[in-house]
Amino acid sequence: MKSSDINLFHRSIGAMNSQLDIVLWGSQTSNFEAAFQTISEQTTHYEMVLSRYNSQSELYRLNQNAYKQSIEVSNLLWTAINRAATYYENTVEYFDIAQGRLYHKIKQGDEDSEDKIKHGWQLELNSTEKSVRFANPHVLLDFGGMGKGILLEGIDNILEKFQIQNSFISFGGSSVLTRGKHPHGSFWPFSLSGKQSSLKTWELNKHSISVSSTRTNNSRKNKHIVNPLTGKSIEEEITVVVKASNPVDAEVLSTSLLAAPKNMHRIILSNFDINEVDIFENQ
Amino acid sequence: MNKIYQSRRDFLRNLAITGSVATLAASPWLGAFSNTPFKGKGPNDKVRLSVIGTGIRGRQLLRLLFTFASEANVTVSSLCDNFAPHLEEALEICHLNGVKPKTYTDYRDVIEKDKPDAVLIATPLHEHARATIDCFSAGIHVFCEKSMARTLDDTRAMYDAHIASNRILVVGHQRLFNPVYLEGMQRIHNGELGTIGQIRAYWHRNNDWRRPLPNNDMKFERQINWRLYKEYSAGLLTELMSHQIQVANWALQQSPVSVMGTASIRFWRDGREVHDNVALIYSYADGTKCIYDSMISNKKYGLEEQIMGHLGTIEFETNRQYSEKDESIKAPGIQQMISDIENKVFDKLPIGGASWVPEIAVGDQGKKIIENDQFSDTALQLEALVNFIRKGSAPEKLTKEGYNASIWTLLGENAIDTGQELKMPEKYII
Repeated sequence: MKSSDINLFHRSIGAMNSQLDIVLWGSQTSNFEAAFQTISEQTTHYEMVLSRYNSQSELYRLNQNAYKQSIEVSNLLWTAINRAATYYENTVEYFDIAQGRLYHKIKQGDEDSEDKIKHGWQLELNSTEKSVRFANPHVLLDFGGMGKGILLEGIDNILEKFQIQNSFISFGGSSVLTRGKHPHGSFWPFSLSGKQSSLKTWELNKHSISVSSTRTNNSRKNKHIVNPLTGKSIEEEITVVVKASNPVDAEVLSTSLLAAPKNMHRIILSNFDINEVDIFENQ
Repeated sequence: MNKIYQSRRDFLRNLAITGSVATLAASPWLGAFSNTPFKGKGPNDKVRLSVIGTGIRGRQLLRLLFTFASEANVTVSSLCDNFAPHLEEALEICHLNGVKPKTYTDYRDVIEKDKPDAVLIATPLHEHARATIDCFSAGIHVFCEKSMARTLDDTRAMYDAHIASNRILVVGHQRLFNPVYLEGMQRIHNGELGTIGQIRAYWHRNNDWRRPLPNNDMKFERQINWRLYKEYSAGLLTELMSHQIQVANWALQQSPVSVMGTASIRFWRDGREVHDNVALIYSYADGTKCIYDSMISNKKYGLEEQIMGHLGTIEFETNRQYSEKDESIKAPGIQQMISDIENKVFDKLPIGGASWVPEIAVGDQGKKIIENDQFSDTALQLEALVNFIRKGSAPEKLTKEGYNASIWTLLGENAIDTGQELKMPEKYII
């Protein structure tokens, strides 16, 4: 295949405090720009619903008010919260969107957060009214562990609608969605960056991959993964890579396996249908 | 050598080319720029202007007037200054342009003997009010340099005289006619920057802000360096900040509700009375803050108004707009992949990793607000002024912009002097 035949399309936008790279190629070139625009608009919309940092977002307002009263929410937010409830059960409580305040405290260096933990699902959901109420004032919803997956799922639907056959969509390298294959191979070959690049190469076609690590690109902020049941940050250097067909599953699982002790991994994994899970320690 | 600026006509043509014609519609006072030729080409239709105060700014106004005077059928009928060297320099500019105006040393002679259609007042600040009010009493339109007056009461009196006389009062906030600002304000008001949380504005220079005295004779000190003495000026506040408060109010489409401030003479301790180092915070009813500072012992950051919304930032003075969504930085791994594909290489894509990113400054290099920025906003404002004079009226919003900027500038001075957070007294609300 000649390089000029590839019809490569690449755009980047900022989203979810990260960079979203969109790489498309194939014969549907006339759809590329329109697909990108649709992705861009949907990304903005999702952020306006799911971001807990944006004071204009629906989630922000929910976090401000849902302890005082029951709040009706949009379909998108309602669906996201209900999926989070299912993940809460399937991860044996190691994935808990309601612990945003705890995560924030740990990130800020407050190690004495154990007494602030409220065990059990802290949201009262009324499916008739699609309304949400927080069970205690400590609840703060944070979709940081599944938001990118939700966005990627939405992008997958857009790519399907525009009949894009080959794509590589990356959220800063931590959440990736692929379709089709690399122009010069039969799959998209994915590896970790830096010193970890030699550990493994994942072969991706119509897949999602999520990478979670206790290590970040900022050494001062190492403690950003928290065990929600103990309130303790994870001290070990661990990287979890999950390859799955669904990007939300991949993201939730990579976060949960990082937070949960090893003896819980098998139980959690038994509740998911995933392709590959790799856990790297002290690399 | 004279700098060549775009004329009103070129400006309009460029707006049409760049598709920014909507800017005209969005700014009501730009009706003065409607694409019709200046009317009244006969000698009796000539607009007669007088320049009162022919210091550096007055002479600059004069030069800019002559860039379009012929086309606009405008002449300079008289000049007025009580400082002979300035008057002579201004007269020389007129002679070079083939115009022989009368000269006066007292503005009252301009009013009584010359009787121009309008005056351009570029005197020291404390003289603005008296001259302006007397001109209005005589039925003469006024263009007055900013800030409007030295005191709050004088500022109010100028505005009241403008209303009572039904004469035009245009304050020298030329950014109101600057195409960069017009286009940028349109975008701000259309929500492109999202919710504005903060405006940061500053004006930094590194010089003593003094003008040389003839023969170093100190008897001219207060006349030439009037900006350094509180009797005549509020220093950096009235001479610099007033422009930027006007920009902040314009961007937010509201006036502040309070101001607090602090200031000092930190570096130029040479007998001046005005501060060389000021910092103020203006608060608006919706919670927006305008954080202002000015100093004249460091110029690294120069001059800027930064309008900061949750979707983007506009920096007017440098003609740039920035997005909060960083579209300029490409992930190295992705770039490698693109390069590999283009070079027919099939290799692993080493991009995986935790993508948590600290909240660093956005790396967006920004884009120009408008491409062609070769114009003089002061010349554009003067061209508009001439059209207002022919029409006999100017949009009241323009005058109010100048009034509110002047009042809040002086309230800023009071806040610094008293150490209190001040609101606008009822009697100054228009």
